Amino acid sequence: MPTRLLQAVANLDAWFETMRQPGGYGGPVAHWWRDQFVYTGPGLDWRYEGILMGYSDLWDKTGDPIWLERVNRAAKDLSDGQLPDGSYRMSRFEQNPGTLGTPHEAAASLGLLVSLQRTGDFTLLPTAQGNLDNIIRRLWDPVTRGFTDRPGVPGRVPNKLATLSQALCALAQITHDDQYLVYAKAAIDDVVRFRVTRGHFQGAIHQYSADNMRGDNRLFPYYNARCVDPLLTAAEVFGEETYAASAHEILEFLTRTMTEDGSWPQIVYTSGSRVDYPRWIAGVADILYAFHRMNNPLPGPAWDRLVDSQLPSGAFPTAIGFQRKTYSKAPLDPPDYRDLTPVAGWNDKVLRLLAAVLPAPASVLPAPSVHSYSRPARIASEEAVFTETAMALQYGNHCDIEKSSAWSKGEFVWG
Amino acid sequence: MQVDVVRIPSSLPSMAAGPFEESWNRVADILFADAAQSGLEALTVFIPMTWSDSDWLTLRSAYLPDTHSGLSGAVWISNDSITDLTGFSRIYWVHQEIPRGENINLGSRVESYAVWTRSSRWWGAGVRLADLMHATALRDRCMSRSQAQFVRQGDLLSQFHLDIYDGQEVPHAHSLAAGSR
Repeated sequence: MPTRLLQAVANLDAWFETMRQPGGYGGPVAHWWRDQFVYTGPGLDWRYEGILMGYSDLWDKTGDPIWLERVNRAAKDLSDGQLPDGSYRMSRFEQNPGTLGTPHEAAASLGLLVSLQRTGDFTLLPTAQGNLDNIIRRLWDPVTRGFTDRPGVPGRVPNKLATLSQALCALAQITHDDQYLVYAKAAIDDVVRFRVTRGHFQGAIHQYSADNMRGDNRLFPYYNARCVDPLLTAAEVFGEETYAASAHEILEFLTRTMTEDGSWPQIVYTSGSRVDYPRWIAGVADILYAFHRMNNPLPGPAWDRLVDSQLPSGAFPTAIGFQRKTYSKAPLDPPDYRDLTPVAGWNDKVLRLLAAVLPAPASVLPAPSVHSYSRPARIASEEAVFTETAMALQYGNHCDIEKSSAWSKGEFVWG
Repeated sequence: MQVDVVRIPSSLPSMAAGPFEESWNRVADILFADAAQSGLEALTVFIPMTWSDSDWLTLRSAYLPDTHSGLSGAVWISNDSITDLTGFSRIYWVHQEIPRGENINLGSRVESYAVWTRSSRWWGAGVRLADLMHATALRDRCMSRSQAQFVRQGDLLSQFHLDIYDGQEVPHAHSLAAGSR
Protein backbone atom coordinates (compact mmCIF):
# COMPACT_ATOMS: atom_id res chain seq x y z
CA MET A 1 0.00 0.00 0.00
CA PRO A 2 2.67 2.62 0.81
CA THR A 3 3.97 2.75 -2.79
CA ARG A 4 0.49 3.14 -4.20
CA LEU A 5 -0.37 5.65 -1.51
CA LEU A 6 2.72 7.73 -2.24
CA GLN A 7 1.92 7.74 -5.96
CA ALA A 8 -1.69 8.72 -5.26
CA VAL A 9 -0.54 11.68 -3.17
CA ALA A 10 2.00 12.76 -5.80
CA ASN A 11 -0.67 12.63 -8.50
CA LEU A 12 -3.21 14.50 -6.39
CA ASP A 13 -0.65 17.21 -5.66
CA ALA A 14 0.06 17.51 -9.39
CA TRP A 15 -3.65 18.03 -9.99
CA PHE A 16 -3.88 20.69 -7.28
CA GLU A 17 -1.08 22.55 -9.05
CA THR A 18 -3.23 22.72 -12.19
CA MET A 19 -5.98 24.40 -10.15
CA ARG A 20 -3.84 27.34 -9.05
CA GLN A 21 -4.88 30.84 -10.09
CA PRO A 22 -3.73 34.25 -8.89
CA GLY A 23 -5.36 34.40 -5.46
CA GLY A 24 -5.64 30.69 -4.75
CA TYR A 25 -7.11 27.37 -5.81
CA GLY A 26 -10.02 27.69 -8.23
CA GLY A 27 -12.41 25.55 -10.24
CA PRO A 28 -16.12 24.74 -10.37
CA VAL A 29 -18.15 23.38 -7.47
CA ALA A 30 -20.68 20.54 -7.48
CA HIS A 31 -22.54 20.16 -4.19
CA TRP A 32 -25.79 18.92 -2.69
CA TRP A 33 -27.02 22.40 -1.90
CA ARG A 34 -26.14 24.15 -5.15
CA ASP A 35 -23.61 24.09 -7.96
CA GLN A 36 -21.30 26.83 -9.18
CA PHE A 37 -20.03 26.31 -12.72
CA VAL A 38 -20.01 29.97 -13.77
CA TYR A 39 -17.68 31.56 -11.23
CA THR A 40 -14.60 29.33 -11.22
CA GLY A 41 -12.10 31.62 -9.52
CA PRO A 42 -10.31 31.17 -6.21
CA GLY A 43 -12.35 30.17 -3.18
CA LEU A 44 -10.98 30.85 0.29
CA ASP A 45 -13.25 28.28 1.87
CA TRP A 46 -13.04 24.85 3.43
CA ARG A 47 -10.71 23.67 0.68
CA TYR A 48 -7.98 25.37 2.72
CA GLU A 49 -8.68 23.13 5.70
CA GLY A 50 -7.59 19.97 3.90
CA ILE A 51 -4.93 21.66 1.78
CA LEU A 52 -3.18 23.22 4.78
CA MET A 53 -3.59 20.20 7.06
CA GLY A 54 -2.63 17.74 4.33
CA TYR A 55 0.48 19.57 3.18
CA SER A 56 1.50 20.22 6.82
CA ASP A 57 1.27 16.49 7.46
CA LEU A 58 3.38 15.74 4.40
CA TRP A 59 5.99 18.28 5.56
CA ASP A 60 6.01 16.61 8.99
CA LYS A 61 6.40 13.12 7.63
CA THR A 62 8.80 13.64 4.74
CA GLY A 63 10.78 16.78 5.60
CA ASP A 64 10.64 17.60 1.89
CA PRO A 65 10.70 21.43 1.58
CA ILE A 66 8.26 21.33 -1.35
CA TRP A 67 5.44 20.68 1.13
CA LEU A 68 6.48 23.58 3.32
CA GLU A 69 6.34 25.80 0.23
CA ARG A 70 2.82 24.54 -0.47
CA VAL A 71 1.81 25.30 3.13
CA ASN A 72 3.27 28.79 3.06
CA ARG A 73 1.69 29.61 -0.28
CA ALA A 74 -1.76 28.45 0.85
CA ALA A 75 -1.43 30.37 4.11
CA LYS A 76 -0.51 33.47 2.12
CA ASP A 77 -3.62 33.00 -0.05
CA LEU A 78 -5.74 33.39 3.08
CA SER A 79 -3.74 36.34 4.36
CA ASP A 80 -3.82 38.14 1.00
CA GLY A 81 -7.53 37.44 0.58
CA GLN A 82 -8.54 38.68 4.01
CA LEU A 83 -10.90 41.65 3.94
CA PRO A 84 -10.69 44.57 6.40
CA ASP A 85 -13.36 43.07 8.69
CA GLY A 86 -11.39 39.81 9.01
CA SER A 87 -13.52 37.69 6.68
CA TYR A 88 -12.09 35.91 3.65
CA ARG A 89 -12.91 36.86 0.08
CA MET A 90 -14.92 34.18 -1.76
CA SER A 91 -15.48 32.01 1.31
CA ARG A 92 -18.86 30.48 0.48
CA PHE A 93 -17.79 27.53 -1.68
CA GLU A 94 -20.90 26.56 -3.68
CA GLN A 95 -22.41 29.99 -2.99
CA ASN A 96 -19.38 31.95 -4.11
CA PRO A 97 -18.79 34.79 -4.77
CA GLY A 98 -19.53 35.70 -1.15
CA THR A 99 -18.05 36.16 2.30
CA LEU A 100 -18.65 34.99 5.88
CA GLY A 101 -19.09 31.44 4.58
CA THR A 102 -19.96 28.86 7.21
CA PRO A 103 -18.29 26.54 8.08
CA HIS A 104 -15.84 27.61 5.43
CA GLU A 105 -14.07 30.51 7.10
CA ALA A 106 -13.68 28.60 10.37
CA ALA A 107 -12.45 25.54 8.46
CA ALA A 108 -9.89 27.60 6.53
CA SER A 109 -8.71 29.24 9.75
CA LEU A 110 -8.51 25.83 11.42
CA GLY A 111 -6.28 24.66 8.58
CA LEU A 112 -4.16 27.76 9.01
CA LEU A 113 -3.84 27.32 12.78
CA VAL A 114 -2.87 23.65 12.43
CA SER A 115 -0.25 24.59 9.85
CA LEU A 116 1.17 27.29 12.14
CA GLN A 117 1.54 24.71 14.91
CA ARG A 118 3.18 22.21 12.57
CA THR A 119 5.65 24.62 11.00
CA GLY A 120 6.33 26.68 14.13
CA ASP A 121 6.00 29.87 12.10
CA PHE A 122 3.31 32.02 13.72
CA THR A 123 3.67 35.05 11.42
CA LEU A 124 0.13 34.63 10.09
CA LEU A 125 -1.54 34.04 13.45
CA PRO A 126 -3.23 37.47 13.20
CA THR A 127 -4.93 36.30 10.01
CA ALA A 128 -6.64 33.35 11.68
CA GLN A 129 -7.31 35.27 14.87
CA GLY A 130 -8.80 38.24 12.99
CA ASN A 131 -11.01 35.87 11.05
CA LEU A 132 -12.33 34.01 14.08
CA ASP A 133 -12.79 37.27 16.00
CA ASN A 134 -14.99 38.46 13.15
CA ILE A 135 -17.04 35.27 13.21
CA ILE A 136 -17.61 35.78 16.95
CA ARG A 137 -18.55 39.40 16.33
CA ARG A 138 -21.00 38.57 13.53
CA LEU A 139 -22.54 35.24 14.54
CA TRP A 140 -22.46 35.06 18.35
CA ASP A 141 -25.91 35.54 19.83
CA PRO A 142 -25.54 36.76 23.44
CA VAL A 143 -29.19 36.02 24.21
CA THR A 144 -29.12 32.32 23.38
CA ARG A 145 -25.37 32.13 24.02
CA GLY A 146 -24.57 30.34 20.81
CA PHE A 147 -23.51 30.84 17.21
CA THR A 148 -26.17 31.37 14.56
CA ASP A 149 -25.72 30.37 10.94
CA ARG A 150 -26.33 33.88 9.61
CA PRO A 151 -26.53 37.21 11.35
CA GLY A 152 -30.04 37.81 12.65
CA VAL A 153 -31.49 34.29 12.28
CA PRO A 154 -31.75 31.87 15.21
CA GLY A 155 -30.93 28.69 13.26
CA ARG A 156 -28.09 26.37 14.25
CA VAL A 157 -26.14 24.05 11.96
CA PRO A 158 -24.42 21.60 14.31
CA ASN A 159 -21.72 20.28 11.98
CA LYS A 160 -20.61 23.83 11.20
CA LEU A 161 -20.49 24.60 14.91
CA ALA A 162 -18.25 21.57 15.39
CA THR A 163 -15.71 22.98 12.93
CA LEU A 164 -15.89 26.41 14.56
CA SER A 165 -15.39 24.88 18.01
CA GLN A 166 -12.30 23.04 16.87
CA ALA A 167 -10.85 26.19 15.31
CA LEU A 168 -11.48 28.15 18.53
CA CYS A 169 -9.84 25.41 20.61
CA ALA A 170 -6.75 25.62 18.39
CA LEU A 171 -6.73 29.42 18.69
CA ALA A 172 -7.01 29.23 22.49
CA GLN A 173 -4.19 26.73 22.62
CA ILE A 174 -1.87 28.95 20.58
CA THR A 175 -2.77 32.30 22.14
CA HIS A 176 -3.32 31.00 25.71
CA ASP A 177 -6.43 33.15 25.70
CA ASP A 178 -9.12 31.19 27.52
CA GLN A 179 -11.96 33.49 26.41
CA TYR A 180 -11.98 31.50 23.14
CA LEU A 181 -12.70 28.33 25.09
CA VAL A 182 -15.97 29.78 26.35
CA TYR A 183 -17.12 30.18 22.74
CA ALA A 184 -15.66 26.81 21.72
CA LYS A 185 -17.57 25.03 24.48
CA ALA A 186 -20.85 26.76 23.63
CA ALA A 187 -20.44 25.70 20.00
CA ILE A 188 -19.65 22.04 20.72
CA ASP A 189 -22.42 21.85 23.33
CA ASP A 190 -24.87 22.87 20.60
CA VAL A 191 -23.62 19.95 18.50
CA VAL A 192 -24.35 17.46 21.27
CA ARG A 193 -27.67 19.16 22.02
CA PHE A 194 -28.92 18.27 18.53
CA ARG A 195 -28.10 14.56 18.63
CA VAL A 196 -30.81 11.96 18.21
CA THR A 197 -31.44 10.77 21.74
CA ARG A 198 -33.09 7.41 21.17
CA GLY A 199 -33.98 4.76 18.62
CA HIS A 200 -32.15 3.27 15.66
CA PHE A 201 -30.23 6.43 14.88
CA GLN A 202 -29.27 7.31 18.44
CA GLY A 203 -26.26 9.57 18.56
CA ALA A 204 -26.51 10.87 14.99
CA ILE A 205 -26.59 14.64 14.66
CA HIS A 206 -29.45 16.55 13.04
CA GLN A 207 -28.44 18.71 10.12
CA TYR A 208 -30.25 21.87 11.15
CA SER A 209 -32.43 23.47 13.74
CA ALA A 210 -34.37 26.42 12.40
CA ASP A 211 -35.80 27.42 15.78
CA ASN A 212 -32.77 26.45 17.88
CA MET A 213 -35.00 24.00 19.73
CA ARG A 214 -35.68 20.96 17.56
CA GLY A 215 -33.60 19.11 14.99
CA ASP A 216 -34.88 18.82 11.42
CA ASN A 217 -34.78 14.99 11.30
CA ARG A 218 -32.25 14.99 8.48
CA LEU A 219 -29.11 12.98 9.18
CA PHE A 220 -26.32 13.40 6.63
CA PRO A 221 -23.64 10.74 7.13
CA TYR A 222 -21.08 13.07 5.58
CA TYR A 223 -21.80 15.99 7.90
CA ASN A 224 -22.02 13.68 10.90
CA ALA A 225 -18.51 12.49 10.12
CA ARG A 226 -17.25 16.07 10.17
CA CYS A 227 -18.33 16.33 13.83
CA VAL A 228 -16.09 13.47 15.00
CA ASP A 229 -12.68 15.17 15.04
CA PRO A 230 -14.00 18.34 16.74
CA LEU A 231 -15.76 16.22 19.38
CA LEU A 232 -12.51 14.38 20.11
CA THR A 233 -10.72 17.71 20.37
CA ALA A 234 -13.38 18.97 22.78
CA ALA A 235 -13.09 15.79 24.89
CA GLU A 236 -9.37 16.43 25.23
CA VAL A 237 -9.55 20.19 25.82
CA PHE A 238 -12.48 20.17 28.25
CA GLY A 239 -11.80 16.78 29.80
CA GLU A 240 -15.40 15.67 29.34
CA GLU A 241 -16.08 12.10 28.25
CA THR A 242 -19.51 13.09 26.89
CA TYR A 243 -17.90 14.46 23.76
CA ALA A 244 -15.87 11.31 23.10
CA ALA A 245 -18.98 9.20 23.71
CA SER A 246 -20.86 11.32 21.19
CA ALA A 247 -18.08 10.81 18.63
CA HIS A 248 -18.27 7.08 19.25
CA GLU A 249 -22.04 7.07 18.63
CA ILE A 250 -21.56 8.93 15.35
CA LEU A 251 -19.08 6.30 14.23
CA GLU A 252 -21.67 3.62 14.98
CA PHE A 253 -24.17 5.53 12.87
CA LEU A 254 -21.64 5.73 10.03
CA THR A 255 -20.91 2.01 10.30
CA ARG A 256 -24.62 1.16 10.19
CA THR A 257 -25.41 3.37 7.22
CA MET A 258 -22.50 2.34 4.98
CA THR A 259 -23.70 0.42 1.93
CA GLU A 260 -22.14 -2.80 0.62
CA ASP A 261 -20.11 -0.96 -2.00
CA GLY A 262 -18.49 1.29 0.61
CA SER A 263 -20.55 4.40 -0.07
CA TRP A 264 -23.05 6.30 2.04
CA PRO A 265 -26.50 7.67 1.24
CA GLN A 266 -26.73 11.43 1.02
CA ILE A 267 -29.45 11.76 3.67
CA VAL A 268 -31.01 9.37 6.15
CA TYR A 269 -34.24 10.69 7.71
CA THR A 270 -35.22 9.75 11.24
CA SER A 271 -38.34 8.19 9.67
CA GLY A 272 -36.05 5.65 8.00
CA SER A 273 -36.45 6.93 4.43
CA ARG A 274 -33.38 8.04 2.50
CA VAL A 275 -32.05 10.14 -0.29
CA ASP A 276 -29.54 7.74 -1.77
CA TYR A 277 -27.87 10.03 -4.30
CA PRO A 278 -25.56 11.70 -5.00
CA ARG A 279 -23.16 9.44 -3.15
CA TRP A 280 -19.90 11.21 -2.49
CA ILE A 281 -16.60 9.87 -3.74
CA ALA A 282 -13.94 12.46 -2.84
CA GLY A 283 -16.00 13.63 0.13
CA VAL A 284 -15.96 10.12 1.59
CA ALA A 285 -12.41 10.97 2.64
CA ASP A 286 -13.88 13.01 5.51
CA ILE A 287 -15.90 9.98 6.64
CA LEU A 288 -12.82 7.79 6.51
CA TYR A 289 -10.88 10.50 8.35
CA ALA A 290 -13.39 10.16 11.20
CA PHE A 291 -12.61 6.42 11.42
CA HIS A 292 -8.90 7.23 11.34
CA ARG A 293 -9.18 9.80 14.15
CA MET A 294 -11.09 7.28 16.26
CA ASN A 295 -8.26 4.78 15.72
CA ASN A 296 -10.71 2.44 14.02
CA PRO A 297 -9.70 0.47 10.92
CA LEU A 298 -10.86 2.17 7.73
CA PRO A 299 -13.75 0.20 6.18
CA GLY A 300 -12.13 -1.76 3.35
CA PRO A 301 -14.82 -1.33 0.68
CA ALA A 302 -14.96 2.44 1.27
CA TRP A 303 -11.19 2.83 1.16
CA ASP A 304 -10.92 0.72 -2.01
CA ARG A 305 -13.76 2.61 -3.66
CA LEU A 306 -12.02 5.90 -2.93
CA VAL A 307 -8.49 5.05 -4.05
CA ASP A 308 -9.71 3.15 -7.12
CA SER A 309 -11.63 6.22 -8.29
CA GLN A 310 -8.58 8.45 -8.80
CA LEU A 311 -8.72 10.02 -12.23
CA PRO A 312 -5.82 10.08 -14.72
CA SER A 313 -5.42 13.77 -13.89
CA GLY A 314 -4.61 12.86 -10.28
CA ALA A 315 -7.90 14.24 -8.93
CA PHE A 316 -10.79 12.36 -7.39
CA PRO A 317 -14.28 12.73 -8.88
CA THR A 318 -17.08 14.24 -6.83
CA ALA A 319 -19.86 11.67 -6.72
CA ILE A 320 -22.10 9.09 -8.31
CA GLY A 321 -25.70 9.83 -9.22
CA PHE A 322 -26.04 13.61 -9.20
CA GLN A 323 -28.85 13.35 -11.74
CA ARG A 324 -30.81 11.31 -9.20
CA LYS A 325 -30.85 14.23 -6.84
CA THR A 326 -33.63 15.58 -9.02
CA TYR A 327 -34.92 12.52 -10.87
CA SER A 328 -34.80 9.45 -8.65
CA LYS A 329 -34.87 6.97 -11.55
CA ALA A 330 -32.33 8.74 -13.76
CA PRO A 331 -29.68 6.42 -15.21
CA LEU A 332 -26.30 6.33 -13.48
CA ASP A 333 -24.48 5.66 -16.72
CA PRO A 334 -23.12 7.76 -18.31
CA PRO A 335 -22.37 9.82 -15.22
CA ASP A 336 -23.74 13.29 -14.73
CA TYR A 337 -21.19 16.04 -15.48
CA ARG A 338 -21.20 16.99 -11.78
CA ASP A 339 -20.28 13.43 -10.80
CA LEU A 340 -17.13 13.53 -12.90
CA THR A 341 -16.08 17.09 -12.16
CA PRO A 342 -13.13 17.16 -9.77
CA VAL A 343 -13.57 19.91 -7.19
CA ALA A 344 -10.79 21.48 -5.12
CA GLY A 345 -13.08 21.72 -2.09
CA TRP A 346 -13.68 17.95 -2.14
CA ASN A 347 -10.20 16.86 -3.15
CA ASP A 348 -8.69 18.68 -0.17
CA LYS A 349 -10.46 16.09 1.99
CA VAL A 350 -8.67 13.30 0.12
CA LEU A 351 -5.33 15.08 0.52
CA ARG A 352 -5.87 15.39 4.27
CA LEU A 353 -6.81 11.72 4.58
CA LEU A 354 -4.00 10.34 2.44
CA ALA A 355 -1.44 12.47 4.26
CA ALA A 356 -2.85 11.37 7.61
CA VAL A 357 -2.69 7.64 6.88
CA LEU A 358 0.78 7.86 5.32
CA PRO A 359 3.15 6.08 7.69
CA ALA A 360 5.86 8.31 9.21
CA PRO A 361 8.61 8.86 8.39
CA ALA A 362 7.71 8.74 4.72
CA SER A 363 10.10 8.83 1.81
CA VAL A 364 10.17 11.62 -0.75
CA LEU A 365 7.24 11.20 -3.08
CA PRO A 366 7.68 9.75 -6.58
CA ALA A 367 7.27 11.91 -9.67
CA PRO A 368 3.61 12.37 -10.59
CA SER A 369 2.17 10.28 -13.38
CA VAL A 370 -0.85 12.16 -14.73
CA HIS A 371 -2.42 12.80 -18.10
CA SER A 372 -5.51 14.15 -19.85
CA TYR A 373 -8.58 11.97 -20.29
CA SER A 374 -12.10 11.96 -21.70
CA ARG A 375 -15.20 10.26 -20.36
CA PRO A 376 -18.78 9.88 -21.61
CA ALA A 377 -21.05 12.11 -19.56
CA ARG A 378 -24.60 13.36 -19.33
CA ILE A 379 -24.69 17.11 -19.66
CA ALA A 380 -28.02 18.90 -19.40
CA SER A 381 -29.97 15.76 -20.44
CA GLU A 382 -27.71 15.14 -23.46
CA GLU A 383 -24.98 12.58 -23.79
CA ALA A 384 -21.64 14.23 -24.43
CA VAL A 385 -17.96 13.94 -23.65
CA PHE A 386 -16.26 15.36 -20.60
CA THR A 387 -12.55 16.07 -20.98
CA GLU A 388 -10.00 17.17 -18.44
CA THR A 389 -6.56 18.46 -19.38
CA ALA A 390 -3.96 20.27 -17.30
CA MET A 391 -5.41 23.52 -18.65
CA ALA A 392 -9.16 22.99 -18.82
CA LEU A 393 -12.36 21.15 -18.01
CA GLN A 394 -14.44 20.74 -21.16
CA TYR A 395 -18.12 19.85 -21.17
CA GLY A 396 -18.89 18.74 -24.72
CA ASN A 397 -20.04 21.65 -26.81
CA HIS A 398 -21.63 23.31 -23.82
CA CYS A 399 -18.96 25.00 -21.80
CA ASP A 400 -15.24 25.28 -21.20
CA ILE A 401 -13.67 26.02 -17.89
CA GLU A 402 -10.11 27.20 -18.28
CA LYS A 403 -8.40 26.38 -15.04
CA SER A 404 -6.57 29.70 -15.13
CA SER A 405 -9.77 31.71 -15.49
CA ALA A 406 -12.16 32.92 -12.80
CA TRP A 407 -15.17 32.71 -15.14
CA SER A 408 -16.32 29.86 -17.38
CA LYS A 409 -16.90 30.16 -21.12
CA GLY A 410 -19.63 29.10 -23.47
CA GLU A 411 -23.15 27.96 -22.78
CA PHE A 412 -23.61 27.72 -19.04
CA VAL A 413 -24.94 24.43 -17.75
CA TRP A 414 -27.50 24.07 -15.01
CA GLY A 415 -28.46 21.03 -12.96
CA MET B 1 -11.81 45.32 -16.52
CA GLN B 2 -12.81 48.64 -15.05
CA VAL B 3 -16.19 48.44 -13.28
CA ASP B 4 -18.15 51.62 -12.53
CA VAL B 5 -21.46 52.20 -10.83
CA VAL B 6 -24.23 54.67 -11.68
CA ARG B 7 -27.33 54.94 -9.47
CA ILE B 8 -30.66 55.12 -11.27
CA PRO B 9 -34.32 55.24 -10.27
CA SER B 10 -35.75 51.75 -10.69
CA SER B 11 -38.79 49.83 -9.55
CA LEU B 12 -36.92 46.52 -9.29
CA PRO B 13 -37.36 45.01 -5.82
CA SER B 14 -34.58 44.57 -3.30
CA MET B 15 -32.68 41.34 -3.87
CA ALA B 16 -31.46 40.90 -0.34
CA ALA B 17 -32.88 37.56 0.79
CA GLY B 18 -34.22 34.15 -0.19
CA PRO B 19 -34.99 33.42 -3.83
CA PHE B 20 -34.47 37.10 -4.67
CA GLU B 21 -30.90 36.87 -3.44
CA GLU B 22 -30.37 33.62 -5.33
CA SER B 23 -31.87 35.20 -8.46
CA TRP B 24 -29.58 38.13 -8.27
CA ASN B 25 -26.51 35.99 -7.61
CA ARG B 26 -27.28 33.88 -10.69
CA VAL B 27 -27.89 36.95 -12.85
CA ALA B 28 -24.70 38.64 -11.66
CA ASP B 29 -22.64 35.50 -12.28
CA ILE B 30 -23.92 35.11 -15.83
CA LEU B 31 -23.37 38.69 -16.81
CA PHE B 32 -19.90 38.92 -15.27
CA ALA B 33 -18.87 35.68 -16.97
CA ASP B 34 -20.18 36.99 -20.27
CA ALA B 35 -18.39 40.32 -19.78
CA ALA B 36 -15.14 38.46 -19.14
CA GLN B 37 -15.71 36.21 -22.17
CA SER B 38 -16.47 39.22 -24.36
CA GLY B 39 -13.16 40.83 -23.46
CA LEU B 40 -14.70 44.05 -22.20
CA GLU B 41 -12.31 46.69 -21.00
CA ALA B 42 -14.94 48.57 -19.01
CA LEU B 43 -18.34 47.77 -17.52
CA THR B 44 -20.80 50.37 -16.28
CA VAL B 45 -23.44 49.03 -13.92
CA PHE B 46 -26.63 51.09 -13.56
CA ILE B 47 -27.94 50.07 -10.13
CA PRO B 48 -31.29 50.94 -8.55
CA MET B 49 -30.91 53.76 -6.03
CA THR B 50 -32.74 51.65 -3.45
CA TRP B 51 -30.12 48.88 -3.47
CA SER B 52 -27.81 49.63 -0.58
CA ASP B 53 -25.59 46.55 -0.75
CA SER B 54 -22.95 46.42 -3.46
CA ASP B 55 -20.72 43.67 -2.03
CA TRP B 56 -21.85 41.41 -4.87
CA LEU B 57 -20.31 43.87 -7.31
CA THR B 58 -17.07 44.36 -5.40
CA LEU B 59 -16.50 40.63 -5.05
CA ARG B 60 -17.21 39.83 -8.68
CA SER B 61 -14.92 42.64 -9.78
CA ALA B 62 -11.99 41.04 -7.94
CA TYR B 63 -10.95 38.51 -10.56
CA LEU B 64 -11.78 40.08 -13.90
CA PRO B 65 -9.20 40.03 -16.68
CA ASP B 66 -7.37 43.21 -17.65
CA THR B 67 -7.75 43.95 -21.34
CA HIS B 68 -7.18 46.90 -23.63
CA SER B 69 -9.83 45.92 -26.15
CA GLY B 70 -11.53 49.30 -26.13
CA LEU B 71 -14.85 47.48 -25.70
CA SER B 72 -17.27 48.62 -23.04
CA GLY B 73 -20.42 47.13 -21.61
CA ALA B 74 -23.43 48.38 -19.67
CA VAL B 75 -25.66 46.63 -17.16
CA TRP B 76 -29.12 48.18 -16.96
CA ILE B 77 -31.11 46.97 -13.93
CA SER B 78 -34.60 48.31 -14.36
CA ASN B 79 -38.06 47.47 -15.62
CA ASP B 80 -38.12 50.83 -17.35
CA SER B 81 -37.01 51.09 -20.93
CA ILE B 82 -33.44 51.99 -21.52
CA THR B 83 -32.84 55.62 -22.37
CA ASP B 84 -29.49 55.90 -24.06
CA LEU B 85 -26.81 53.29 -24.07
CA THR B 86 -25.29 54.29 -27.35
CA GLY B 87 -21.71 53.24 -27.78
CA PHE B 88 -21.64 50.24 -25.50
CA SER B 89 -20.65 47.10 -27.33
CA ARG B 90 -22.36 44.74 -24.90
CA ILE B 91 -25.58 45.53 -23.05
CA TYR B 92 -27.09 43.50 -20.22
CA TRP B 93 -30.69 44.28 -19.36
CA VAL B 94 -32.06 42.85 -16.12
CA HIS B 95 -35.81 43.27 -15.83
CA GLN B 96 -39.00 41.57 -14.71
CA GLU B 97 -41.65 41.80 -17.39
CA ILE B 98 -41.09 40.52 -20.90
CA PRO B 99 -41.59 43.60 -23.06
CA ARG B 100 -44.17 43.02 -25.78
CA GLY B 101 -44.48 45.08 -28.90
CA GLU B 102 -41.97 47.58 -27.61
CA ASN B 103 -39.31 48.72 -30.01
CA ILE B 104 -36.09 48.28 -28.06
CA ASN B 105 -33.22 49.55 -30.11
CA LEU B 106 -30.30 47.97 -28.32
CA GLY B 107 -28.74 46.02 -31.14
CA SER B 108 -29.14 42.32 -31.66
CA ARG B 109 -30.11 40.14 -28.74
CA VAL B 110 -27.64 37.29 -28.51
CA GLU B 111 -28.82 35.54 -25.39
CA SER B 112 -31.61 35.58 -22.87
CA TYR B 113 -32.00 33.92 -19.51
CA ALA B 114 -35.09 33.27 -17.43
CA VAL B 115 -34.26 33.37 -13.73
CA TRP B 116 -36.51 31.97 -10.98
CA THR B 117 -38.72 30.38 -13.59
CA ARG B 118 -42.39 29.75 -13.09
CA SER B 119 -41.84 25.98 -12.85
CA SER B 120 -39.20 26.60 -10.21
CA ARG B 121 -41.68 28.73 -8.29
CA TRP B 122 -44.29 25.94 -8.45
CA TRP B 123 -41.81 23.53 -6.91
CA GLY B 124 -41.02 26.26 -4.39
CA ALA B 125 -44.70 26.24 -3.43
CA GLY B 126 -44.28 22.50 -2.86
CA VAL B 127 -41.42 23.28 -0.48
CA ARG B 128 -43.64 25.56 1.57
CA LEU B 129 -46.47 23.04 1.60
CA ALA B 130 -44.10 20.29 2.73
CA ASP B 131 -42.87 22.62 5.47
CA LEU B 132 -46.43 23.01 6.73
CA MET B 133 -46.84 19.24 6.72
CA HIS B 134 -43.45 18.75 8.44
CA ALA B 135 -42.66 16.40 5.56
CA THR B 136 -38.89 16.84 5.44
CA ALA B 137 -38.14 14.28 2.75
CA LEU B 138 -40.83 15.72 0.49
CA ARG B 139 -39.42 19.16 1.12
CA ASP B 140 -35.97 18.06 -0.06
CA ARG B 141 -37.44 16.53 -3.22
CA CYS B 142 -39.36 19.69 -4.06
CA MET B 143 -36.30 21.83 -3.32
CA SER B 144 -34.15 19.79 -5.68
CA ARG B 145 -36.70 20.20 -8.47
CA SER B 146 -37.02 23.90 -7.78
CA GLN B 147 -33.25 24.38 -7.93
CA ALA B 148 -32.87 22.34 -11.10
CA GLN B 149 -35.27 24.63 -12.94
CA PHE B 150 -34.26 27.89 -11.35
CA VAL B 151 -32.43 29.23 -14.41
CA ARG B 152 -33.17 28.44 -18.03
CA GLN B 153 -32.10 29.94 -21.32
CA GLY B 154 -34.82 31.55 -23.41
CA ASP B 155 -37.95 33.64 -22.93
CA LEU B 156 -39.67 31.47 -20.35
CA LEU B 157 -42.09 32.81 -17.79
CA SER B 158 -40.02 33.81 -14.83
CA GLN B 159 -39.57 36.37 -12.11
CA PHE B 160 -36.50 37.92 -13.73
CA HIS B 161 -34.99 38.13 -17.18
CA LEU B 162 -31.48 38.83 -18.33
CA ASP B 163 -31.20 39.84 -21.97
CA ILE B 164 -27.78 40.21 -23.54
CA TYR B 165 -27.36 42.43 -26.60
CA ASP B 166 -24.55 43.06 -28.98
CA GLY B 167 -24.71 46.85 -28.90
CA GLN B 168 -24.62 49.08 -31.90
CA GLU B 169 -21.02 49.88 -32.69
CA VAL B 170 -20.69 53.63 -32.70
CA PRO B 171 -17.01 54.66 -32.66
CA HIS B 172 -16.01 57.31 -30.13
CA ALA B 173 -19.51 57.48 -28.70
CA HIS B 174 -18.68 56.44 -25.15
CA SER B 175 -20.03 59.61 -23.64
CA LEU B 176 -22.39 57.97 -21.18
CA ALA B 177 -19.76 55.50 -19.99
CA ALA B 178 -17.09 58.16 -19.76
CA GLY B 179 -19.38 60.52 -17.91
CA SER B 180 -20.06 58.00 -15.20
CA ARG B 181 -16.45 57.51 -14.16
